[in-house]
Parts: sequence; C-alpha cells; structure tokens
Amino acid sequence: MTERTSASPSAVTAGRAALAENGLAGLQSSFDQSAEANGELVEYLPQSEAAPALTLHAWDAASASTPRPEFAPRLGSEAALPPDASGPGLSYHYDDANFQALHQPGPDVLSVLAAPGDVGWFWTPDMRRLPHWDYAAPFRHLLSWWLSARGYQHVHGGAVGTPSGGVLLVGRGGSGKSTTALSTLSDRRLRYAGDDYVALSSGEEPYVHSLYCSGKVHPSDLGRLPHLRAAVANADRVEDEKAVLYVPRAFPQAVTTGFPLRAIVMPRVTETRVARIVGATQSAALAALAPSTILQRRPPQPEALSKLARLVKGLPAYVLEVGSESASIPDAILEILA
Amino acid sequence: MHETIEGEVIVIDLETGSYYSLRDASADIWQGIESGADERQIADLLHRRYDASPETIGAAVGKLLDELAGEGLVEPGDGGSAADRAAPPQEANGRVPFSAPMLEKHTDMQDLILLDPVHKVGPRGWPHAAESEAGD
Repeated sequence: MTERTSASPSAVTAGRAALAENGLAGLQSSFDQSAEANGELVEYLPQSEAAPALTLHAWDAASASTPRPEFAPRLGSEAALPPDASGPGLSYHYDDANFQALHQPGPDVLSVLAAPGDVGWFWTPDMRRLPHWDYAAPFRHLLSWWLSARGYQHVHGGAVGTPSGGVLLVGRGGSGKSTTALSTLSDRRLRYAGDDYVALSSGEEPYVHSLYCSGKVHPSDLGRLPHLRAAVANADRVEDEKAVLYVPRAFPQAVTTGFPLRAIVMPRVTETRVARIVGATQSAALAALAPSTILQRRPPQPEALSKLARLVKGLPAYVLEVGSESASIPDAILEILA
Repeated sequence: MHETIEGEVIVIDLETGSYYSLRDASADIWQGIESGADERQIADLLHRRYDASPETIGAAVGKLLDELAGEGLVEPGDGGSAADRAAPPQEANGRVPFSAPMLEKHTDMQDLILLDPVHKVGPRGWPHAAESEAGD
C-alpha cells in the first residue's frame, strides 16, 4: 500500500496507514517545513499491494487558497499559543459512536475521524505555521483514536532495534529519549522506529510499529550528535524550535516499519562518559511510560493504563545511563538485545 | 485509575494530571481500601505483617488515609467489610520491619491537564459544552 491519497481541496497530500496480516504495515510521515519544501509531506512506506486501511485528508487554507471551513470554530481569546508550549494545548473534544473531533485553538488544528469508512480530516489555516512538534509528528490524535479502535496502543516513547527485536525508550521530555534514539542513526546495526511516538501491539509477541520518519533534537545537543548536523532540515529555524530531521533522506538504511519489542529502557542523562545499562523495576518503567502516554492524548485514555501494565509486566526494564560519549549508546542497546 | 505492578501501586488522577506511587505498607493500605476494609481492619492487617506497635501502625494508616483523601484519591470513610479479604502475605520468619507508609506524588505531567484542559462538547458543537461539563 503505497499510493498517495489527495485531499480536496488540497495542496497537501494525505498520509495513510495500512494493516497487513501481521499488523501495521507502516505509516511514516512528517511535514517538511523547510523553506524549499514548503510543507511537503515526507513519506516512506514499504511496497505493498494492500488497500489503505485509513485515509487521512489534510489541507490548509493558505496553500489551497480556500476559506476557513464552516465547521472549524472561530478563534477566541484563548487562541494564543504560548511560545514555550509543548503539550497538546487547550482543546475541545467531541465524540459519538461514529465520529471523534478535536479542535486545538493554540495551533488552530481541527482533527476529525469517522469510524465508518476509516477516514480522517486534518485542517489548519497554514501548514507552514504548525509548531515543530506537530509538523514533525502530525495526525497524532487521529492516529491514536484509530489505532485504539484496532487494539493498537499509541505511546509516548521512541524505539530503536534490529529486525529481530528492539527497545522502547520511555521517560519525560528531556530524559534523553531523542538523544538515545538519534544516536543510533549512524550505526548500521540498528534501525530507527521513532524518537517520541510509536504504536505498540500486544498479543503473544509485543511489537513496535513506526509512525513517523522524523527526529527532533535540541540544537544544543547537536554538538554530541555530530552525524546529525548535515541532516537538519530546519537549520534556518533552530533558534526558535528544535532541530528536525527526516530519517529516510539522511539515513535511509536506518528506516524500519517496526520490530518485536524486547525491553523497556529509561534513558537518564548522567555525568559519565560511556553509556551504561542498569537493571530497573517494571514499576519504574510503567511510571515512565503510562502517565505521559495517557495524559497527552485528547481525551485522556484511562483504559490504556491496564494495557500498558500488561505489556510492561512481560518485559525486562533497564535504565540507560547516557554519558557524554553518545557513540557508545548503540553498543549499550545491543548489549540489552544480545 | 490505578494499577499494581511488582507490588507497587501506580495511581493516575486524570482530573489534575498528578500521578502517585505507593510501595510496601502504603501499597498494602491501598489494597486494603480496594478490598473494602475499614481503617481499623487495615491497621489489623498491617500489624499482622509488619513489626511495629498497634499504635504506630494505627497512626500511620490514619495519616496515609488522610493524605489520600486530601488528594481526592479516596472518599473520607472509604471502606467496608473486610470479611472476604485474604490476609496479606507474611514473611516466613514473622513480621517484616515497618517503614512509615508514604504517598509519593509526581506533578511533572500536571501542565498537560491544568494548563491544557480538554473541554468535552455536546452535539451542538463548539463552543457549547456538553451537559456534563456545563457550569464547570
């Protein structure tokens, strides 16, 4: 399933996912906000004959030269998005048996999912003005709702691994998830499924599914991740936002649609030099994974706690002490997977 | 909403975005509440497991119940008959050392709820709140 689906009216193509027999065949998309790309959707998908299982129509008023849709609420005084915002922002949610809708006045994003037909709509006045966490990882709520209905769990976490198994990287913002995930991009032994959000399926063998082909890192961390410097797509904007890169372009060998999940890893930035693995409790892993996964979603998803607990109970948990030498991180991860 | 894993209870408050962890004696107290035990019954259960005087345990149980009620995690006076409840596991060599039960509170996710509230809207659409939220 690789065909693109165009929205109408639209200057922006839509993303889409496919369900293969063994799970998600992969949806990997991110909006490229660099000056040259002008909001183009970056995609990587494996070749597949399967029909799209979800169609997302995305458009904006600016590039489509269309008026604001009548169903998009007018902005009120609450519209201003704080400059340091990183959460989902104030939001208005509606759901019934067939539809879910969310309006986020901060970024002025409207997301609508129709269960019949597996179709969604994503509208914003100007794709180029989406905050970096939205353009690098778009459609988060649409995907989370749709995945939940199919037994998948959208989680706040990164994931890297080999084709035979990988680790889920969990922890609050600033814990080192992105640094850890992105440090593996120059290591040919490891594949990259995401640095912030992935989907999980349970069953006999838990499995990580990649959702986004982007990575985000604080510009100050580029010093210890020198392999990323040439890959930064928004170099002209890093004074105002995190550095964003698109993995298929710069590190095509690292792209994956997913892998079996073998362990949960909590990165922790330390003063040490070489990365080191330390055993951790499953309760610490659940506390690092569940609250931010559940509370970031709109609406919050209480039923996810028991699902995540079941998942965590079946997996070993580790703390990864991330030192100054980020090149040592891949070896530490492979040590877990050995 | 709460979940027990490796003997530790993790509680998430969707209203405030706070989450809590309860270990050891505090996890036993939480499970006592869950099973319908009242304050005295919970204290009795803990006394059978932990090596401390009934007064020490009784005061500690009361304090934690007050804390839980103060956080809105339990209703004051929660509890009922503990007749059906099995006794907590005891150590083979007798009672285990008692540490005062703690309620560990984490507020790092609060902004996601308190600064970024979700308003549920009804069939009339935006900006009309659903009836359950009207008057909030």
